[in-house]
Amino acid sequence: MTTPSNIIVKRCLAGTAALLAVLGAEACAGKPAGITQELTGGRTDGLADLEIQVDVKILKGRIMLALYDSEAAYNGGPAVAGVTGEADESPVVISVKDLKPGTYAIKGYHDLDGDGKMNTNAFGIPSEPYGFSNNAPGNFGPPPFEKAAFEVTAGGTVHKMAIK
Amino acid sequence: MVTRRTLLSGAAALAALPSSAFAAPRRLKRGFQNPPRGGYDTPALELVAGRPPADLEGTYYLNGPAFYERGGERYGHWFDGDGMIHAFQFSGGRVSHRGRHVETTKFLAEEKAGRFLYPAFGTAPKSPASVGRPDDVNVANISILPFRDEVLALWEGGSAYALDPETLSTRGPKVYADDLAGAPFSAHPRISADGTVWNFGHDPFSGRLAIYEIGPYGALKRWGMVQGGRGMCHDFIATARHLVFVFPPCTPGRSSAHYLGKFVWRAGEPREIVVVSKETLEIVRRHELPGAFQFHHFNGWEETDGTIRFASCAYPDDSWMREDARAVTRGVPFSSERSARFEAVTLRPDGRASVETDGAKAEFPMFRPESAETRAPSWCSGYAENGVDALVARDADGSVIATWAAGPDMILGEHVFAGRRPSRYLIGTQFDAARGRTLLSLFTTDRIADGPVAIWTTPKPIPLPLHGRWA
Repeated sequence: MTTPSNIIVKRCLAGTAALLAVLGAEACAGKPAGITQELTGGRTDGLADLEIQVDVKILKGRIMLALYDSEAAYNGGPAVAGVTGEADESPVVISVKDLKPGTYAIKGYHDLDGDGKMNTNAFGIPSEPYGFSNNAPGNFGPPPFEKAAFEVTAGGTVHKMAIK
Repeated sequence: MVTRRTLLSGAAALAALPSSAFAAPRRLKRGFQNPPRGGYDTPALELVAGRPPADLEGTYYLNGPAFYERGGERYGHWFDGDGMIHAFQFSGGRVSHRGRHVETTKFLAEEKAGRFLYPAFGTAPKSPASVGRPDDVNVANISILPFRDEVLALWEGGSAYALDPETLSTRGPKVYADDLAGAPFSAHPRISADGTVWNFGHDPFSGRLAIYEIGPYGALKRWGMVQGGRGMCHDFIATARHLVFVFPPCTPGRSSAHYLGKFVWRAGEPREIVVVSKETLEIVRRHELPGAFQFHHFNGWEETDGTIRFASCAYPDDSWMREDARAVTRGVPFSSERSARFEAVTLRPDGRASVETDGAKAEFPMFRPESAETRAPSWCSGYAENGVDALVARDADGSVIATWAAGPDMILGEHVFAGRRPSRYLIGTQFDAARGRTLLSLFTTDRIADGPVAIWTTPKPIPLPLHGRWA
């Protein structure tokens, strides 16, 4: 499912560890935790569809998400999918189809200026909003996989998160 | 000839300090209570002693942590409070006072929520919000940098906040360049004799150190980035050709819900010093000194062979910051044992470094702003022989030449130069811990031992401030 935008997303998010490392105060759970819901009446072929609902504050640009299916991938490996959605209303709804049921995690940012990368200042501090599945807070880097991980079950799953 | 060393040791008598000069500090806690939400507006402060000079015209801007309580939660560290800017305007022998909260993103968000949302310097609220970037927790509470068209309220971990110089209303974070939006900007800029403002921004988690060169009217001229140390760095020294940064062995190293808790004191490890060329904005020398903690430095200068000299206020370790600056918000006076001492530093061009001290307490170092880069007299707060806070004057060699002892129970705040250059006056605050009131005291620089030439009081105490500047 790799697409050109997918690759951009991965490359940009790889810098997130350094970005968060500069944050003086430890990021703590302030946003409500993300919500994962199983969809009833979904597909029955053993695969799963995932609907990601992303709350945003600013209605412009695009939401850029990278979906990972393992801790190794989340910590620097390839994303299973790179998906985007136009941020013209909140929540931005982005679907990923034909996933194997299992544990996943998301890194995302809000590409406000549409340049396809997460903007940062000279210290690597993000100047565009970013977030993680479960609204997991970072702590000197992205949150660990287990904090951002959620289950995608056969049929369908909805995951609600915020990038503000 | 009297050497610098003998002059310094001559002041050693000041080192023998009684344990406390507080008899009745029962109203010290009043220095850590929220100001009125609307701030302060006093047309004329009450003159309680002396006679103000008629020729003193200008504004004493002052910043400090001020807002400590919200939604039933209370901050537990002096440096936690959201910043408030004060403008004491001197005109025709009268002094007016205006005080306003810096309306940072954090302050406004928490006001709307009715509770503290974000971790502070030394305290974390019960259910803290996610911190996306340093400016999320920017409290703009350390110092002030006035320009003609705006005054900047300075923090150190993120943006300066621009304010209207008259109304003190908040305009918003200062952005010097796209690449610098939200970047650390220290609270202790140094101003060269030609008006050039030098400042730095430091990220102790990565050690990255930005250098800013700003014109006399506040526009960024140049900036650069070097790799500094990871120790908490609050101030720096400028000489004619160099900028000197001292990194104490107090570095990030553990997880904590608040900023201070992330830092670890590395006992036995040295202070790292880097010397940056003003011309190239690159590191030209590195030195080491025995471990000590420090916030502030005096003026600095360099000699023809490249030797750099400056003085600092050095703490034995970081326990004053961890313990005293916390306990004081509960009304516990500062301890003399953990306070900072005057220290004279020499950095030789071949990399050697040495330090000597007379053991006398020294904090809130002050020098004529135009003398920042030269060998020059200095002033600071210290202790008198009976243990009370004192204003101390030293000559260009670092020898104590005059002392004025404050009253018992008084906490002497920073005193800065006031009036037209060359400035003849020092203006600052004293907090009267017995009576719970704030005094504004004005000294003549060359006659501090005579005591203040004028003392005013504010109708209500103002929270213990940090740093100010005259404009």
